[in-house]
Amino acid sequence: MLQITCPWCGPRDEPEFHYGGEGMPLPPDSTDAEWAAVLYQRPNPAGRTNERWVHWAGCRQWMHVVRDTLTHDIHEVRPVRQPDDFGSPA
Amino acid sequence: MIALSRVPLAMQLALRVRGHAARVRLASALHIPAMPSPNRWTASSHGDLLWLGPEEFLLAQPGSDLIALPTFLATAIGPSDGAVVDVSSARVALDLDESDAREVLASCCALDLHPSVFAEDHCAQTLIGQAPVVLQRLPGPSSFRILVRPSPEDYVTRWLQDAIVHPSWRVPPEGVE
Ligand SMILES: [Zn+2]
Repeated sequence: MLQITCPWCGPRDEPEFHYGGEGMPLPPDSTDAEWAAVLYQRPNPAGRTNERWVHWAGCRQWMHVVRDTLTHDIHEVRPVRQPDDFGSPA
Repeated sequence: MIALSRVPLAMQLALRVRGHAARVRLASALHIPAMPSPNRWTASSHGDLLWLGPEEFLLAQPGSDLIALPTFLATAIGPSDGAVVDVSSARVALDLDESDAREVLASCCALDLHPSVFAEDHCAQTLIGQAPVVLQRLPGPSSFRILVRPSPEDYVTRWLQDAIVHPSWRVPPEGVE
């Protein structure tokens, strides 16, 4: 099972998370076709990808995850929202 | 003897608070030195205060002054730095007091609950079976509080009772198949 280290809660099993798609910059001024391409046409590369996951069963925070789609190695997890002074993540 | 009991909570409040200054005001109103760190809880003057998220806390089991409490805390937070919502009906509390409580939970919860990892001031939101719960380690050698939504309460209770009655984790004695 995939285990993701939530920046707030520490290592948790995959069922506590939802996959939020590949993290791509969203164009602010775009046509419907360009938006559709961003939302529905995934590059799906073999290797390292930038993904977004949400810890829905835990702290319900979104995070960026750098995951290798071939090996399932997770190279980096960082919160989408940067922590301020409300306590350092686990 | 099944040591699983439903505990009445007088009131539960969801506290949303943003920014250092508001957190300091709220902690002061609850007579605690600081708001709890991630996945920790602390006993405050108005009940147990559990960390739920970077800007979200749950105040459970407030003991006194119930009617005035939400307004009192909302005033401490301030009008633009958060909110206080009465969620008293959102979850029920189940206390598991059982010498094997950790093993019972291990049958249906993936968290490492060993005391060296999940100490007495720890809490966590996680899954029991497929039901989201707030798990709170209570003071004492092996006591846990499970805060669960009313609709999956029966489901969670059955998971726990099954683990208590049919302890599959127990190592059989020597020579017994
Ligand atoms: Zn988390």
